[in-house]
Amino acid sequence: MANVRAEMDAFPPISAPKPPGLLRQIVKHRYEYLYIAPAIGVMGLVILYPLIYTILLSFFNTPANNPNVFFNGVSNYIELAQDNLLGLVIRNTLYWTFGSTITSFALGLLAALLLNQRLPGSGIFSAIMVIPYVIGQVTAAYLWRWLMHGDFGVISLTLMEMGLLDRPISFLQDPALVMTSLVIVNTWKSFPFAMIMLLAGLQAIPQDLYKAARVDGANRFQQFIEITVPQLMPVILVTSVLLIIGNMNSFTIPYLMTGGGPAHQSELVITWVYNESFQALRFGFASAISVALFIVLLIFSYFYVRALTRGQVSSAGE
Amino acid sequence: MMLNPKTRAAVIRATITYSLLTLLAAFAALPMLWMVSTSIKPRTEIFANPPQWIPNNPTMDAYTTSMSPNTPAGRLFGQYFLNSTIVSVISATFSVVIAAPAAYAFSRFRFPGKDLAYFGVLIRNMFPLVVFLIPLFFLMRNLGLLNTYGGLIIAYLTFTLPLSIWLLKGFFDSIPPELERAARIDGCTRFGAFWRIILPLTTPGLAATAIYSFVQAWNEFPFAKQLAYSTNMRTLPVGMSYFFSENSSNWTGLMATAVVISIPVVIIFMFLNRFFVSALTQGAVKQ
Repeated sequence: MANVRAEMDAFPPISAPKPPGLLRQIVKHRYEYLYIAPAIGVMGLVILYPLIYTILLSFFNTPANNPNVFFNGVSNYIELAQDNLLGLVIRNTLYWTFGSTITSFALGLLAALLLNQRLPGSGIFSAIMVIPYVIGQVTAAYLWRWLMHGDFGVISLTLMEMGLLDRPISFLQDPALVMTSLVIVNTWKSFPFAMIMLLAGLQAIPQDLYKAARVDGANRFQQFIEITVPQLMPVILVTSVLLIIGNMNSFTIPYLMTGGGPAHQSELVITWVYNESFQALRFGFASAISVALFIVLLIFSYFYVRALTRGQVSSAGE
Repeated sequence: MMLNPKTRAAVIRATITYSLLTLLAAFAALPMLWMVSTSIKPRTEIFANPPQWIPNNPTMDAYTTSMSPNTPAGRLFGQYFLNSTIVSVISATFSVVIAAPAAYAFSRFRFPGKDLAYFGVLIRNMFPLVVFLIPLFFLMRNLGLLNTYGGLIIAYLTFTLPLSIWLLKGFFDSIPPELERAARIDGCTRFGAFWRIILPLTTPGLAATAIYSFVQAWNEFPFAKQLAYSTNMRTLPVGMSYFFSENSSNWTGLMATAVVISIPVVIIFMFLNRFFVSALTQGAVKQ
C-alpha cells in the first residue's frame, strides 16, 4: 500500500491540473504553518477580532440605557469632528507624547554617555536609575500624587524650606501646570528605557573606530559627531520611535493622576476613549475616537516597522 | 600636588561625570526613598513641614494594618497578591509556550503570508491597550469570563504574546542556522532540530521573555480594572486603586502597599538585569 502511494507520488499523472502558484506554495509549506497556528489563532481572538469589532461599533449608536445598538452611519465621526474637546485633546496628546519623548530621550542619552565612560561604580548608578522603569505604573502614579500633593507635597515643602516658594504649588489642580507635571512624571518613568537602549547601542560601537580617529587627531567632540552619532543612528531611531509609541499609548499614569482633569485640561486621547466608554457608556462614540487614532497610528507605524526592520536587517548583515 | 595636564583633565572629567550621574540617580531614587520614608512614619508625622526624610518614630503600623492577614484589609491584600501571581505566572507561561514555535518559524522558515503575519505581530504594539478593552470587555461578558482568572489571562495575551514573539525571534536569529543543518545531517527531523537543539540553547532567552511578560502582567492596570473588578478577583494594582479611592488620605498605608508591590519586580530586575537588557535591546542593537 505504502509502496503504491510512493510510486504514485513519484510519477504524478501528467494530465492532473496543477494547483495555482500560491496554493501550491501554501500546501508545500503546510507543516511550517503548524508552528505559527496557535499564535495566529490567539492573535485572531484577542487582536484581530477586537480591531474589527471596534471598527464596526464605531458606526453604531450605543445608548447607555438600552442593550441594543443602532446603526447610525458616520454620525459618531461627525460628532467627533465637531466635538469641542477635540482640539484640546489633540494639543494635550501632542504635548504629552513629544514632551515626554524629548525629555526622556535627552536624559537617557546623557545617562548612557556618562555610564559608557565605564568609571568605577557605574553599575550601581545604572541599577539605581533603572528602578523607575521597573516599578509599576500604578505605584508611580500614586507615589507622584503624594510628591505633588497640593498641601503637603514634599516637592513644594522642600522648595518652601529653601525659600524659593511662599505656598505649595498645585501641580495637578492648576490648569496651566497639569500637563507639564504629567510630563515630568512620565519622564521619570521612561528615561531609564532610553538609557538602557542607547547604552547598549554605544557599547556595540567597535572601539577600533575611535582608535583610528584618535590616530587621525580627532578630538572628543569630533569623535562624537563623526563616529558616535552615525554609528548610533539606528538605535536612536528605534528608541525614539518606541518612546513615542509608548508615551502615546500610556494610560495608567495620566488616568490615575488626573483622570483628564481638572475640567478636561489634561484630557488625552486615551483617557478620553476610556472616559467616553467606561464612564459615559458611549461605546460607539468611543470606538469612533479609537478608529481615528488607529488611522493616525497606522501612518506612524509605517515608519515604526521600517525603523525596526532596518535595525534587524543590519544585524542580520553583520 | 602637581598633576600633569593629561591626568588633571581626566580628574576633571571624572568629577563632572560623577556629579551628573549623582544628579540623575537622585532624580530617579529620591521619589522612591520618600515612598519608603512615608511608609514607616506614624500618620501624624507625614504632614510635617519642613519635610522629614528620616522619621522620628519609625513604625511598621502601615504595613501591619494594610497587609497583616489578621485584618480585613490584610486578607484582601493576600488575596490580591495571590490573584496577581496566578494571572501573571500563567499568562507569561502561555505566551512563551505559544510564542516559541511561532518566533522560530518567523526566524527560520519562508512561507507565503509570513511577512503579513509578522507585520500583525509588530503592529499590535502600535495600538493602545485601552482601545482593545471595549471589545474584549464585551467578548468576556458574552463568554461569561468577566471576573475569572481565565478571562484576564486570555486578555493579557493581547500584549504578552506579540511581545514574546518579537523578543524570541531576536534570540532565535542570534543562533547560527548551521546548528540545525548539522542536526538534520545527523538524522534529526526539522521539528527535532527545533525541539532538541535550538530550544535548549535558547533557555536564557525563554526565561528573559517569560520574566518580561510576567512583569508586564504584574503591573497591568486597565484590563484588570475592567475585566476583574469584583472584590475577590482584583489584582494588586487594581486593589491599590480601590484602597486609594476608599481611604484617600491614608498615605502611609498606600505607600506601604506601593513598597510591597514593587519589591518582587525590583528583586527580579536586580538579579536578571543582564537578561532584561539583552531582551530589550536585541533586534534594535547590532550584536
